[in-house]
Amino acid sequence: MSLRDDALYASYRRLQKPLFNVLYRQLWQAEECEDVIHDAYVRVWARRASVAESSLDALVWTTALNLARNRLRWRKLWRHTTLDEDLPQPGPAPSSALAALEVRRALQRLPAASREVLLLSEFSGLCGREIAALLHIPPGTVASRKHHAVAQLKALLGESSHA
Amino acid sequence: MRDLELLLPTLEPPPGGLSRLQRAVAAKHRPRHVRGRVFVGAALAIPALVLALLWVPRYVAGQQRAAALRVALQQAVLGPALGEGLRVEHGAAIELASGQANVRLYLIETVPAEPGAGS
Repeated sequence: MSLRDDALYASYRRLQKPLFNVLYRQLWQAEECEDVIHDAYVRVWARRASVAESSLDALVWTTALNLARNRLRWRKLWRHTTLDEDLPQPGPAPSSALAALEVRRALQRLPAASREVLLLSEFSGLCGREIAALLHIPPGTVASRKHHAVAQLKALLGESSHA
Repeated sequence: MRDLELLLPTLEPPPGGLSRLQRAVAAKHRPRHVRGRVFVGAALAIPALVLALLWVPRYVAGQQRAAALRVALQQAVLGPALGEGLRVEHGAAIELASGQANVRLYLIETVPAEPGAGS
């Protein structure tokens, strides 16, 4: 059941965009996100002998999220803050850099667990059950965390727009 | 979740990620049997090298001793010229101290001729 390289590349094509969107809203550095995605795939490839194609995407997600968590922990440990304030070209909205910065600050203020659920729900293309399996939490917790995250995000953005 | 779509627009990842991964995979990609052979080869080569390092100096010293002995025996067998046209065939001669000026003493050791060797 050894993993073939074409399956790995197909998975990369499939997940690159969702992974980037989820990771970017946690690390806020495009280059670091690319590194995390790359490292996740390289690690999975290193274990290719024991990886089935059917579980490849889930394993990549788990590995990438763990790597991102490690980086965030590392930053916190060294009180490292990113200097890269530039967002890659977002879509039409939020149109202004200021609005993007507000969203970013609001996301950073969310609890990490809720933020992760929210971002996975928005960008991963995975259903609640799959997200629950990925994060090792019950499906009901996924739904409640997402609900709270959305409410909190809106409240935070409401606060900042009134400020 | 229209609001969220507006707040969190989908971003395009920077290009070049896939080719970077392909390069990394190509660099790491070696068939298992090749890696196995390399491992077995290294596992055998290291003790062989250690043994060689221990054994070679002894072998060289032994060879040198044997060569020196061979030369000494050859010289002894061929025998030095005794002077005045005298030679020892199939033997060796060592000059001994003599008490008289006009007498020369030699200790001669002969080596039996090999059967079938020319006279």
